Amino acid sequence: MDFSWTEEQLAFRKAVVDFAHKELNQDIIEEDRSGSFSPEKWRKCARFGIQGLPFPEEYGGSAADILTTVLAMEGLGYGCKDNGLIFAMNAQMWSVQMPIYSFGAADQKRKYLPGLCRGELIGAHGMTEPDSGSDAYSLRTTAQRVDGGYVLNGSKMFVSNAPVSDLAVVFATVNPARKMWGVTGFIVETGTPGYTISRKLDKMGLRTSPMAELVFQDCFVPEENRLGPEGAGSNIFNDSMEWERSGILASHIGAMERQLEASIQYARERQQFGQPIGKFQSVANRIVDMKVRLETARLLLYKVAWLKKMGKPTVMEAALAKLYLSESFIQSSLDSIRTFGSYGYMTEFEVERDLRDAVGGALYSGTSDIQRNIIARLLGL
Amino acid sequence: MDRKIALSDYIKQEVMRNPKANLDDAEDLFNAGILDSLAILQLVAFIEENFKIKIPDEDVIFENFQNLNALASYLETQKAAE
Repeated sequence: MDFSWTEEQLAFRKAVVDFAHKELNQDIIEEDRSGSFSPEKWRKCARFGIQGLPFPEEYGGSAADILTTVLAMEGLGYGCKDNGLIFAMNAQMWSVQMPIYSFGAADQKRKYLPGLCRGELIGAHGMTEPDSGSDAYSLRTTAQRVDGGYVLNGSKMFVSNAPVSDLAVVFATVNPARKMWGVTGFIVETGTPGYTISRKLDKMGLRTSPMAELVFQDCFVPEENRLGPEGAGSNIFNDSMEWERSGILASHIGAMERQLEASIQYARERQQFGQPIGKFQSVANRIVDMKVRLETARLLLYKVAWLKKMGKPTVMEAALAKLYLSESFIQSSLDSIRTFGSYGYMTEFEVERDLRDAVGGALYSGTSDIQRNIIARLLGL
Repeated sequence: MDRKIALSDYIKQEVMRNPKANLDDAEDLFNAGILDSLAILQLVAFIEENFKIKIPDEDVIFENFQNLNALASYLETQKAAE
């Protein structure tokens, strides 16, 4: 068993951290307060190569393997305090770019992937509906076959990146009676008649990642924009979720490391009762727990990335990683606030924002409840 | 062991949790509520590991997984193509 990274991989992680420190940490408090997405930071990340990391060079990517990609996203989470920006990029990489790359026709890959990798296009992913969340395949959006394509009717809820998106990968059923086997994927471009991006949704955290509802009213989508075969949508969605669960939380590892270092530094400097607060066991033990959580979460993440690289099934491991990393980030964020005390509760110290951002991780890409359901099933329960 | 029998045994044991269950080769695995999306992922992993047959993502469709007969027939074609 070899846990080491190559010098090149570590140098790349450092380059990502340096880039993030220098380019991505300005104005976050104000952008978070106003719920503003920064197109400039998005383009900077694309120029650096973040969005294209795991995709082939012919599509504008840099063909990094999954382990290197995970390490780079970890570095991004460490260097960049804007969790919303990182989440928005992850939402596109794993749920828009990856399904187009894995299931798209050659023309679809050539048309969309280079722009998405270079930051010229922004993609959204529409699966959840007002009445279907965890029970994803009970969706009601329909795709009726017509001459030359399909007519979509329905709506998609809680769609990340939607307000700024140029295209969306959306799922609709071509045959409700077939349940999951009727679900079919489509690529819908913004501006398509009958397709509207509805009200922007305000939320608790990840505020720099914009979210909205998609509405389809007799929206004609040409056949060449169908993603994969009819009825393959559930498999496309499952595959996307497995990638997302494997990769979307890598930045949490970096963020937890950042929280740990800040907490240690503060516990050494902050004096109460004539000594640094880190000398009090209640404080020290809490920080030790943060360290244990960080390292165990990191092992789960690396294992699932390694399995992906080996081409092995990762259903159980992806669910374990998603559950543990998301819950760990929430707990680590709470522990940070407790260590910083009232200062940690103040917006200007940029400690409390992590907690608001972390809560979303227990909901998106399958809630913690759903991850536990998956794990329980695979355990034979 | 015959692939169809191995598949039937696996589904009865790991999905239905009842090794003595009756499972007809033509029984619709979806309408009978036997296979759901998670069970499909388990089944694909089982096939790839035990039969050494790679199932491309685009082949995971209703027609290939509807019942044991359809699945065995698909795997035969896929094995021959490899």
